[in-house]
Amino acid sequence: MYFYRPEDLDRLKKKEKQARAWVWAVGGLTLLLCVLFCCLTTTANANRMEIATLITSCVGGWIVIYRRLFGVQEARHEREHAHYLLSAEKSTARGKLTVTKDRLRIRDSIRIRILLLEDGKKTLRLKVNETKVRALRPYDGKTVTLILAGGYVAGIGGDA
Amino acid sequence: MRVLKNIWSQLHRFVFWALLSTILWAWIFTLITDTVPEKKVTLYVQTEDCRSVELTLKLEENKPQGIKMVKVHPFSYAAFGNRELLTADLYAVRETDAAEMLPSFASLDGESLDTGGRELYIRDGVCYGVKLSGPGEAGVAASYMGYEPGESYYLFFNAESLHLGSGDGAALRVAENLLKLK
Repeated sequence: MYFYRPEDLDRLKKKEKQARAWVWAVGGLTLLLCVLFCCLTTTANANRMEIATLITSCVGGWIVIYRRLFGVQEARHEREHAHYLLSAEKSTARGKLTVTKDRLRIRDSIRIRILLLEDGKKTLRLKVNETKVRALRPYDGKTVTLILAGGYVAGIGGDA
Repeated sequence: MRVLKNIWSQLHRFVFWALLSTILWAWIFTLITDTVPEKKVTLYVQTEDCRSVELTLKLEENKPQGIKMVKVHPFSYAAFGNRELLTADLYAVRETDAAEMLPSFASLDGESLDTGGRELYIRDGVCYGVKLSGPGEAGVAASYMGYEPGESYYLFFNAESLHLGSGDGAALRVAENLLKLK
């Protein structure tokens, strides 16, 4: 069972597009609200309008930053990772699987989890997309065949 | 929990944006809502407290022709070095501070200002200002400006003002409106 199939690329591209559209929508709405507050300003409400403008721009910007970093970029990283796994040369390895608690983020890429695979002679240290760890949980501590692609786990072998 | 962790990992970006957006939008807000000096009369008030919004609304009720905006600013330490302070048209200042600012104030000799018979600030035979309040007096616009008891306050005009008699005289008209307020 592969974690990603070729048709998943379209789904991931759509997910990235939606996240990007969401960021633009929030950014645009924030800008629109700020300009609206400026235009609705009168002598009597100037202080309140200025505070409303500052709060709106600050909070709107925070949402944009958050969604850009943890929505758009994560979706893009996952799509690029899926593309890499699908195009890389595959191999298999069999052994006792241990899902460790070691997490790390590869610079400008996905968050990964470290897996150990012991075949009796040596222990392989493998990387897997953090979002795919759930699929490996049932095999933790068991002997399993993993499909590997460029140092990453791309799937679980059929005889797992 | 995940959201908080994510925010914490990028806290520097969120803090930077808070600072940047505050400065940027404060500037844009002023840019959009403010007007050119030729179309506004600015009054700085050096009283204990000042209901600047209410006083502005009152003075704007009777704006001189050609003036779009009357601005009232309370005097604060933040105002020092502020360009708007230096280019303001009117100043409500304590008598004790007036002497050192005198070179910046315009002479009222020859200006057509209806003072309503109020006491004038005269130095070396030159009239510079009009009394707003003194010890034991209710004072002009006392419901808007909180005069310090035991202090005298005077209204002065910036010598560089665009709205004196040689200009459109709008600062003089706003001053007259102010002097009529209770």
